[in-house]
Amino acid sequence: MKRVEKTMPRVSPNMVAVWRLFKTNPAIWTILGLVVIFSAIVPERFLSTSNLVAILRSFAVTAMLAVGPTFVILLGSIDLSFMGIWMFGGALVWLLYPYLGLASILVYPIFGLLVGLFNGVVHVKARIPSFILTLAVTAVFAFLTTYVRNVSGVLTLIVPAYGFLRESPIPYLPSPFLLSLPAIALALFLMFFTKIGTYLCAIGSNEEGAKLAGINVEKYKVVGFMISGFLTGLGSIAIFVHLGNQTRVDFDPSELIRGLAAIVLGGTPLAGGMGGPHRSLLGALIYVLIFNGLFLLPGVDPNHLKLYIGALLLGAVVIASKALKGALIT
Amino acid sequence: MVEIARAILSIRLSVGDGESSKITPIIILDEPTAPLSIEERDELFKYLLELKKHNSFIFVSHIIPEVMRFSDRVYVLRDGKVAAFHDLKKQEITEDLLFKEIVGRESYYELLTRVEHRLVEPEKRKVVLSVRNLSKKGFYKDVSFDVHEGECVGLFGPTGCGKSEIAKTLYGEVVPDGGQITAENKPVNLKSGPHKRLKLHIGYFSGETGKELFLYWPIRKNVSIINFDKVSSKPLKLFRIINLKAEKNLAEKIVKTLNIKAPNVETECYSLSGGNKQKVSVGKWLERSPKLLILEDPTIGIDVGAREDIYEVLLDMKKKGISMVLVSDDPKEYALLCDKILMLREGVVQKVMTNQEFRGVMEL
Repeated sequence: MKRVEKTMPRVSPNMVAVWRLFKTNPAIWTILGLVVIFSAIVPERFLSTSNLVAILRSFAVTAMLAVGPTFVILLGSIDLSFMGIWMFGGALVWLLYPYLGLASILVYPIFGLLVGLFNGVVHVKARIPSFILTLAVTAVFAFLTTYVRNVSGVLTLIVPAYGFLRESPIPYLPSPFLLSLPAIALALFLMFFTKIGTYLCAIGSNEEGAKLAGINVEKYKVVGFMISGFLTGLGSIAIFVHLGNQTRVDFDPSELIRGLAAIVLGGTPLAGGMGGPHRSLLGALIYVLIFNGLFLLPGVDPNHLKLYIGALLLGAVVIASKALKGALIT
Repeated sequence: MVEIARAILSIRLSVGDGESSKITPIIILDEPTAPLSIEERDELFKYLLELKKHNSFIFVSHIIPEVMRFSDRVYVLRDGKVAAFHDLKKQEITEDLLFKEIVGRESYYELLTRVEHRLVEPEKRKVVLSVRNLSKKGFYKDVSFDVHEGECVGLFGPTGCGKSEIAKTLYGEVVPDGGQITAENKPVNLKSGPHKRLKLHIGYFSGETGKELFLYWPIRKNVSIINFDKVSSKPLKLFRIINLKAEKNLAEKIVKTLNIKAPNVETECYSLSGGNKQKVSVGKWLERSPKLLILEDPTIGIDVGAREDIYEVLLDMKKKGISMVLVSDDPKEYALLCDKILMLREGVVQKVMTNQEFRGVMEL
């Protein structure tokens, strides 16, 4: 034993921790690589202050679409209702503003929580596949949002009173980014410092084993969906402000894919059991860097970016499923 | 058996019909009997011995009687090296000799003679669990027994006698048709799942590690999953804050007591050997200390040394007053652990034996 210790090079524990971080999150390498590549090709455009602020903005938006559903994907299910929560939640804020005043923004997280509760209970009790269920939920809410707009006879569901939210108190940090921080902090706290994160991971990686370890599987599945809904609702405030105090009124599948792409790119496999919101944050950054960089590159047609979004998700899912050989979506 | 037939067939097919009679296929059998019961094993061996006339086999197993029965030459491997070699056609060897060579020390037969089993006097000890007229159609009928504090009750019988279903019923995985289960003098809701049973201090440990462990998780997390009370503080009613350092210390303690061979507690469980996986699996119960532990094939498919370590731990837990219900295929296991053995056939309890009576019947 003693001889081995002598020949071992001295490595400080901090170095080991950093190395582990890099090893377990390959997304960090990708981010560094992307930054290096784009700074080399278009340095003056990519590294300009305005561009970096733009990156921060779209990072916040992408992260808010990805962080919540990550908790459901950990379970091995999927939650596509984030799009519905974001769209119709905004419509509710607009509808309720005349009655509730500024407090109506709080409708967002509450609405998210309720949709999550509904998703979870129906998924667990009626045993409806989460993919179909949450897609249907999004379809219904997307329709309702458009319907509200059409019936009201307005073009956009804008609530001008929240204008003050757009002003950021800190220079260079855009307000959508600041508004996304509570959801990020809550997600990381739930994942790492409570048993909920461990339990959701356990259910995703081995449901039978989770049951044997005394986890109330049905309850925690519902909890997972509720967390997803609540975080999406909370995060949608940032997107709401980013879009100019209004919500999206027409359904766009590329926004749906954006959230999923960030999750998968970050390294949370759709089969569940591994990863977490921290990885989705890295994934969101990769996603944003790729599109920001491509946009700046000469010779890339911005109109084709949506095509690239689809291709990117396809590629990420194929890579993720090859690494796992597991069922993709259950 | 289907798998073996398939292996032979695929060799024949790949060679072609004309040549198939000329070649001797080599078939590698890696623990072929692990998932089988005693009767099924006998059947498999009849078939294998028949096949042995035309085929060559490499037979990997830790079950010594099987090796003695089937092999012509035996290589004993220990720590990745050939520790001993025997040509069974030329020399006579005993099972005990092989045991010693595998473990490098005395076999658990010796442990068997060392452990003394006292008869539990019912009036002196508390009843931890009592089962009355438990029935499930097609599996078991009118099963009644009591488990006292610090007592191990064995459910013994051939595969299909309902013993594992009874064990699963006790842990809430199978819902019975009728009967009563009482734990801590309170009736148990028969429809409630494992998470409710855990609250009644009933634990479950199965040797099937694939079922129980989270293979891609580090040992640390596999251990702490049922020990959150020990590794976290509770500043708010709703949340528990996990203390990573306490988690690590707990896992290190278990790795040390159970002699688990792993580089550190961050090692992912899939990279461990079968025996070490099982030790992690039983280790998590060490700290939880339930009042009753249900054991289903606790040492299935692992080598003799690891078995001994697990038996030591289980006997230790028993001494501390933890009651157990054992379901297994190995009569020696019952003789070693149980104070009282229920003989089951076709779902009905035929006879209740004490440890001494059981040893007498099984000639152990």
